[in-house]
Amino acid sequence: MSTPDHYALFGLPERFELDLADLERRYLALSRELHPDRHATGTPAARVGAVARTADLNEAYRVLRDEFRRAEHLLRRRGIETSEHQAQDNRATVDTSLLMEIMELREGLAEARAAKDRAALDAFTADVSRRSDAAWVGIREGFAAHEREAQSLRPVAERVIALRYYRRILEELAELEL
Amino acid sequence: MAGGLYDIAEPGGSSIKEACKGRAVGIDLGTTNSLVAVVRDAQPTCLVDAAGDALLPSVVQYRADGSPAIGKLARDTAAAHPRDTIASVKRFMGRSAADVLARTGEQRFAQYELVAAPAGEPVVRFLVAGSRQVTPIEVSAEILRALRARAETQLGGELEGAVITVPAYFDDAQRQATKDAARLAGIEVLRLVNEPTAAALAYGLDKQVNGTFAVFDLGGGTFDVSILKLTDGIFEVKATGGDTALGGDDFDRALAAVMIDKVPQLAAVGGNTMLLAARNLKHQLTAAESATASVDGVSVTVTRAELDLVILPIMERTGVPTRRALRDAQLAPGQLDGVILVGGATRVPAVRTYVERLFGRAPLSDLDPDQVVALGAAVQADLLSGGSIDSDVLLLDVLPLSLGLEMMGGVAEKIIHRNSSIPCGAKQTFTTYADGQTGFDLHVVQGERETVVGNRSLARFKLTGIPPMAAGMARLEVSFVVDADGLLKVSAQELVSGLATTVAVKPSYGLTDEQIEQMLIESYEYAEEDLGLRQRSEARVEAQRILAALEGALVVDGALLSAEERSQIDALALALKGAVAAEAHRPIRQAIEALDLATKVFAERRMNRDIGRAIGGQAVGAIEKSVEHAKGTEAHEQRARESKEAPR
Repeated sequence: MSTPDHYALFGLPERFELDLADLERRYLALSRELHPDRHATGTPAARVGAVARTADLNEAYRVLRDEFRRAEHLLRRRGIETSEHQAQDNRATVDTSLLMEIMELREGLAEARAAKDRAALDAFTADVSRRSDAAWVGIREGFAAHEREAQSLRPVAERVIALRYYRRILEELAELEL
Repeated sequence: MAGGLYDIAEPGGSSIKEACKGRAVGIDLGTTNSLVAVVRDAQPTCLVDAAGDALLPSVVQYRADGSPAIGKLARDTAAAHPRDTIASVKRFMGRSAADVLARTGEQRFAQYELVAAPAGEPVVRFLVAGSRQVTPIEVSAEILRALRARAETQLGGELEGAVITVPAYFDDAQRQATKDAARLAGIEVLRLVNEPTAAALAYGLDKQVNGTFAVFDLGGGTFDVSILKLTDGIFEVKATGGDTALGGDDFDRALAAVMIDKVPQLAAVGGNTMLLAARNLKHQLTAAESATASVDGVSVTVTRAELDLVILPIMERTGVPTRRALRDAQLAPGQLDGVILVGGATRVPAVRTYVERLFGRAPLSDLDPDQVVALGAAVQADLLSGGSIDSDVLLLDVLPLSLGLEMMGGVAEKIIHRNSSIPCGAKQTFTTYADGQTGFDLHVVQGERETVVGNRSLARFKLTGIPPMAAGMARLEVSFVVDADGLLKVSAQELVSGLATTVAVKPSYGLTDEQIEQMLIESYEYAEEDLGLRQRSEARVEAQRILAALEGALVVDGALLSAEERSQIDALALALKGAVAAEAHRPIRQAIEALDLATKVFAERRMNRDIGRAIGGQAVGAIEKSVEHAKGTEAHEQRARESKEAPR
């Protein structure tokens, strides 16, 4: 199944770095054209068409405005699958040392959570955030190098996979704070 | 799937639009009170009853002869007919009998006689007026009929349609139940709009502001919080959260308990009477530090401090949904440009203080919190009915709760995540887990929990008849599409054999289409109306609207068509003109469909050109290509997860 080009829908070149304010302007302008409310006096078929097109637009915007989903999308467009559910053939491999790291982090999370220790939780959050930030630096540099001199994206894919784990842990931590 | 006649509707008024103007209304179907509003001379206003009141109490009383009394009369005589008077019916909407019966121990359900559902009938029923059984949908329909009558009397003619507001946090079953109630009341629903979004629309248009706002909506029975960004007339909902069983009613119950604590002999007073007394007392305490109520000749005094203390734990339940909505919108409270208060319960001074603490700023409340939702709904109704189609105003709303499927082991797999902009769609692919498996059981759920049990069950359906294959060979593709009302449609297809099925997710807790048709036929109002006449007249209006739109489009963009295409369209348009004279609605519908199909290419070309314009004329070639392959939902990003265990 081919991956649709979310960038083309916005009339943008496929580059990782994106001006989010510009993306939002394009999204709002396209919404004005496509949204079902703008076709409310049309025929049933026109309304169904508007729903489908706006759904495509919303999906493209959901992916592009989020740095992580954008990275996944660009990799998928270049034949590298980083999500854990995809078929095995084109999936980037998960490094053993990463798995060890994540298992340790998970244990740390469980301990801090069980102890209900504010300071330990904060320190733990800071630690995961640092790892996340470092992964992002690598991803940005990797995409830039790829766009500049067509370097392999495999190292980027590895970092995206690591980031998926960090993000999940950070989300769980944030949920604890509500 | 892409529409014919797409975007053919031209800005500017055809004569039909002019005729319809002012007949589309906004309805706030509230837990405690309901309102109807309309845009007149570019200003939304609430329609009032003979006594000058905009609020219609959402109370329905079924008299001994079965006829309903609605509103103030029903509310004020509730004490004498506790079982026959249904108040706060909104709390029962989209709820299953099992759901509600399991909670009859709770005070709020205690007063009603509930009927255990007959086998295979999930919807809850009240036993009223002796032996009559009514569903929450029918009760809500009575309230809507009363509002429709008010509107039709004052606007002088049949309603064209209505925008009806629902709590942003209503799930699919609750939304569907609301839509069914409207249908039963003979109202065409132009759109279900979330209450906080409607409020923001009224507020934003009134104040002409840009920025990011939170709408804190505490009504009689529901709490919603939404974060919206206003940009030059576009109201984009960033996140929403809430609790559909939290509101001012809970304050009343808590206050009634305080009153009974203070004067134990009040325990003998009926529930309805106590709640009404508590509500009056609560209203008095908005302005006064202390107030006295007299219930059946017994007087009781409560201070505001006592009220504040007892409602604090109820108010605090708004904190988590609010913080989560802010986080989902990736905002800190300090980044907001304002907080808008909606709902009668936000008049309580302690609520205002609490909101101020929650957001770190004083809330805005210069519009009437009781009316602002209905006013916003009226504005949206006006937009959708073409009253002001050249307006720049557009609402972009979100799905409040994640939608998913049950997997092996009772795990809920999210297909569409909460706070996704609607309309939206997604697909996933599953495979069989047993050799020779010929069917899939699909169970659609809504909610944030990881397990199916913790979420709301929306529908179950089966795809059967798959040819036997080895385990893992079959490919089941399940598509979810959520429309602009926030309502879900699910379709499933086995890709190897091509076997397909589609369900509108309707009824775990609602009524079937057949049941609604039957109720319509039985209902008194409809017995008088000839359904056929109504259908024909609707088809005629639609045909005329389409012909007018097509004519305009051909004048402007006729050059986009070849001579051959043009003559085909002309012939079909002529056929439709002929069909309009027919006595039945079917030939008109058929002619509309034929014309629709023939104009599909024309509509596509116009749309693609407009998209090019929207993004500043850049890379038009690329856009056309992408739109081409993004047709329909088929080409949503394949979020398919192959090699995944099949759902059950």
